[in-house]
Amino acid sequence: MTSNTPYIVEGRLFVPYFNYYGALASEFYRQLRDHKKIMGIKCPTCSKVYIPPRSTCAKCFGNLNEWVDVSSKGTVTTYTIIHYTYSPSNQPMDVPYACGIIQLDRADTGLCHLLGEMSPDKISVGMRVEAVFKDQRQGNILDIKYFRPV
Amino acid sequence: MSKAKEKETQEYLGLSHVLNLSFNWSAGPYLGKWLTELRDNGKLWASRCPKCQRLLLPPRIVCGICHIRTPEWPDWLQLSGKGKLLEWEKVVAPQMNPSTGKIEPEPYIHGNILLDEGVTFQHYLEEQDETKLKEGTRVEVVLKPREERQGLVTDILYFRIVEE
Repeated sequence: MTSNTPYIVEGRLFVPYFNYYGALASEFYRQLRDHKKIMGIKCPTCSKVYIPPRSTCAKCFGNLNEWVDVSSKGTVTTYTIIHYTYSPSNQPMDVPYACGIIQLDRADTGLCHLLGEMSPDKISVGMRVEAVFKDQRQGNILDIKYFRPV
Repeated sequence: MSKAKEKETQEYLGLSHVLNLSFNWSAGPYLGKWLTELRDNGKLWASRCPKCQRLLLPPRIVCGICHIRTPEWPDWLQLSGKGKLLEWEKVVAPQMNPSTGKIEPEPYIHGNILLDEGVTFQHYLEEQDETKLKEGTRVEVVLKPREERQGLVTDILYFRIVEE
């Protein structure tokens, strides 16, 4: 007879890896890191401005290569409040914190980011916000610390 | 600066991550018994299909060809751990160990061994000089010392050449 106690094997995966943003997103993050600029990319055919940048227009399938400097100010189009700590090392702020989609001026798509310097119950759709940049920027989306009200 | 030059000097950015997951899995009654026997008693076992009579190493509950149940331990066959080399390969490609994230030392030699009981098994070879290997070379299993065994197939250190 085999034993009824299951034999449990302790497994572990430990895989370091690095993924490149690609040519377009690298330019986006370089501008963010070096010049505190949020860059969008404009479709030459239908004039739609995408942020973050992409290489093909989703509307007319045109190739995109015209960079435009979009504003660091925008409007909250939707938001949510996070009350739950699910992964402390991967969450950017202590709970409760707010996360929203911000429609930047001169851009046609929304940017999902954190909302800071405001009480979560004071946030409303349509409120005006501006980007706050970190002092030490490393070339990732958290070089923008959060968006605060203006 | 020309466009081509600009492209060459452009800095590509990215993100570093570490995927770090721990998980437990149950080896089940057959593989579990096989691994604990290897760890605790240093013994290798194989189960035999009652219909087609082939040996299953490591033992499996159901024969993959006949689809019938195989007997439970201790109605398994204890293997001598000796056999002959069928083929081998020298692995020169550096490979990452997914449980540590470190690159494993290379080159090393990996062999396919026909055990005397008539079942094949694949594992590392001790001998690193390929000129000393040929098809039919007699080999035997070498286990780690009892206190270093973890109940994994790597409790088998390698197969070494035996002079007979």
